[in-house]
Amino acid sequence: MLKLDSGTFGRIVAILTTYVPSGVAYGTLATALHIPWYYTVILSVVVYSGAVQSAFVGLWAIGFEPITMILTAFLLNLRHTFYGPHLEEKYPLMSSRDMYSIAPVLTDEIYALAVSDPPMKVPVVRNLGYFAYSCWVVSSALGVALAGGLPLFLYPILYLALPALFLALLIPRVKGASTALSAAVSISVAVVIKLYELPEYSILISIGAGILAGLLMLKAGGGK
Amino acid sequence: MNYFLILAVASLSILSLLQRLVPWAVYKGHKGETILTIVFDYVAISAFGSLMVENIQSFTPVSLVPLIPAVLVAYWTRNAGATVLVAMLASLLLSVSGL
Repeated sequence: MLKLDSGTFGRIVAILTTYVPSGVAYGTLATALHIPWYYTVILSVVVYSGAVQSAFVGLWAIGFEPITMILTAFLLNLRHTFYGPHLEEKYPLMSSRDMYSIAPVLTDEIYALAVSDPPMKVPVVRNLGYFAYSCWVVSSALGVALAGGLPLFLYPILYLALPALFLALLIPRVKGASTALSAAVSISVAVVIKLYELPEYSILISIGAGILAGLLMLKAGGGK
Repeated sequence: MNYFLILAVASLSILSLLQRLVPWAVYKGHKGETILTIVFDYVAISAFGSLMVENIQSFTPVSLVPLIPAVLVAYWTRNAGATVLVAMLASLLLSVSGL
């Protein structure tokens, strides 16, 4: 069971307000692209990656090419390479059993919430992960059911939840010159990538640029 | 039944799982031996910043203005749920007011 202290409650609210709108949006989009409902839901159950699933339905719409799909999925999920090891550092007492149970439900949001302060207990991280997974699957199915039924003005409001969540998780981590520079560089590069409509996996460039800038500043004596 | 599509979905599912698990399992066996420990803070900051921008649907005042009160709430409360709710509420108010 999740222990409902104020930190956990805030994280549950964050998951509900981000996963439900995103899942509904994914289900609606997939249905609008004439993808059978069972593929839409099965993708949520077995792939469980908003970015990869969106890429899948996007490629479905323009003509499916398997090598492109696999390569795109690999690049989109490449950032996950850092998530598990970071959790390992944050929660040094985590057992192999914990790792095997949490890894399948480790997403951007769960990673972000788990490494944010105050730290959670490992079972809470795991429960939060499976709660988010359930929200994603159910809201994807809900999106299929609601396709075309939601008022249009609601979509921009729902879509705002994810950027707001990452903003909320970013701000407390900026504690000095090098972390501020790291944030500024990654955001600036990400804006350029977005404005030039580069592929989604170009996000790796902005992440890499932010890390490099932070480390260089730290080495130059800028302080965290 | 389209077996080709089933194979594609199965491949994506295995790939997604392996990309989450393998780096973690490898690191678990070599903890404390790499520079990654220092890098992690910057990974988190850069990932959050990049994902924030990536998930903004359009760069318009209506989509960006609600993030201003969200910044203030995030700074003062450090509560992710409250921040998200404030951003959505601000966006709803902007929509209702016809901006």
